[in-house]
Amino acid sequence: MTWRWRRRAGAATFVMRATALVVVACTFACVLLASRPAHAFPWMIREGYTGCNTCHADPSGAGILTAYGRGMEEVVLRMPYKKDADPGKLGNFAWSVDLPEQLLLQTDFRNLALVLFPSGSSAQFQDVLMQLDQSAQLKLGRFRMNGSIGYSPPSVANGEFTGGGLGATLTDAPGQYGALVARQYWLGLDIGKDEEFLLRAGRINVPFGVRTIEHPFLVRQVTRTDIDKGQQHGVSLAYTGEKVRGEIMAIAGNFAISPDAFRERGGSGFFEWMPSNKVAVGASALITHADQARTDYDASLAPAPIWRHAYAVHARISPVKPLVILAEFDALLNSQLVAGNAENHAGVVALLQADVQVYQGIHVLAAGEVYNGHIGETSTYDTTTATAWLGAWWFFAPHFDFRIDGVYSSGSAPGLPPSAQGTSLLAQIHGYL
Amino acid sequence: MRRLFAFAFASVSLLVTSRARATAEFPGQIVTDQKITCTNPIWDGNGCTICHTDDNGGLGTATKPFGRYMKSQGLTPFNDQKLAALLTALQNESPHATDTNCDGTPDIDELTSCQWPQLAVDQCGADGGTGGDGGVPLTVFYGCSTSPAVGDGEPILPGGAAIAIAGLLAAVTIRAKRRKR
Repeated sequence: MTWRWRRRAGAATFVMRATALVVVACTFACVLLASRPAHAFPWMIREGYTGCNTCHADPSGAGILTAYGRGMEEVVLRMPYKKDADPGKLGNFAWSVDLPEQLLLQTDFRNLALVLFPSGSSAQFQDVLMQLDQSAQLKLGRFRMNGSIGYSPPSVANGEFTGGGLGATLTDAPGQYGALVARQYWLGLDIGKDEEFLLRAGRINVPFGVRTIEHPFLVRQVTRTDIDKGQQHGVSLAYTGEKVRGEIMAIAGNFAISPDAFRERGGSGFFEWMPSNKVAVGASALITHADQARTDYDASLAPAPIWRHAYAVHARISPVKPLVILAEFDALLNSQLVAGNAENHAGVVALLQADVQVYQGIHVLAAGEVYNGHIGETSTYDTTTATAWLGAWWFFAPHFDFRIDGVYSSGSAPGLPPSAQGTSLLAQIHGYL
Repeated sequence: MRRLFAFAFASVSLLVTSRARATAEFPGQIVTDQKITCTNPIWDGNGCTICHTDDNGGLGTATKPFGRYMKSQGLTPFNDQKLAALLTALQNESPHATDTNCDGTPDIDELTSCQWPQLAVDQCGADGGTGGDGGVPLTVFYGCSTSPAVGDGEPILPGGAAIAIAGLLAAVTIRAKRRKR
């Protein structure tokens, strides 16, 4: 056997393997597609976890848990009923299944009972299936294929699809049978000696601000960076180090919406510095352009091209173990050219949240937000919306948690339905395999 | 390896959704398709500006109302067939109604009567139509298969899948180079 023969044989093997990989990737991306938020707990810094990639496949947080993350949920998140009890395999997929280390699977179910007390009208009750998703990640060497697919049903009230996930739907929406949603799907390559870099391409959470599970927070809705439906298609590079982490993303647009004029293109990124394992501070920037502003999302905008800017600073601090403070301040600028005239709207949105772990597995949360997107203007839009949250969260059983929230909002904000104005009571249960 | 690169190049070229860019023959094609006979129809060579900010065109410059509308209906660069289909659709309106720049005159009538300079002026106010009757507020569609932009000559796969495939191929290439070393 000559070296030439060996080289040819090696090349042929490689091409075959590469072709097989491409076929698998195509199948995965085109048929399976997708994802949805599962967890995103920035207050895990109380346990000394400043980064996200130890517990989540997404290095910037949220989504499918790693095997380590599943174990952590049992050890430090769930309410313990026996002192120093060994959780064994309870954290595993379906409470017991040993998956190959290359494979992550997660099935999520989340249901919300919602009572709205809109200003000036009678109370309304809604039952919302927030999440029914199957997530997966396959890691072969340094290659990753990650995604999930979910179902979002039509609303019970009128038989039409009004539920979450608009902006992440694969199938026609609205539709009387609901829709398939695909919030994330990406291919990734781990780079670096310790795989500290992750290069991804696909539909990805937009790296900006504090990544939190409370997707209706104004800081996430106004900047359109929530993990419910705010993902964009593009390419990103994430870095996770001991003291610094961050991610930058080139945004190619959200191809789950059309026409193309509404797709935002540009870039976004954040970095976070962790001077200690109880303190993290960061900054973010987002600049996008669309040929047509989303007037359905923000009625104050003109139906014209738009440059959308957002710049943020944020902090996560745990001064004592039971308490975690989250803060984010965003400066906003919407710049439009309307009938040849420049129209610039400057604004701010800010969040302050306190999470108190009164006992392992039981959390009390309080948050306040303010938003004004038209500061100093003479229009009727120059108003400040304030919201207040008070909630309790109980991680009561392996893979299960229950949460109740009371929310008051003095006004409206981009991305929020009119019914959000006033008082709301929310009760949600979440379980996963 | 060459086949792999060829496949990668072909995949990216074919699958990634294109953005509308200046296509030099479009003004002339409008004149031909619509059998426009009035003098100086394309406005001393400034015809590109009915869609683009200037005659140089370029990525992201089709921001005039008519340009945004045509893109929203699926027009992509060099797609003469799609342009013809869209012009036919405008002609088939009865009565002509699409007035993207809100000046009170239907766009197709402005094209055929050589009022291209007027069509290039955005008269829509912040409310979308203070400059005249009409205006075409675009509607957001959700889901891959609802897109009005998907049509003749459009890519079959969503852009995300194309990007993902391109990423995988790049990764495979990097790994192959490392193995060689």
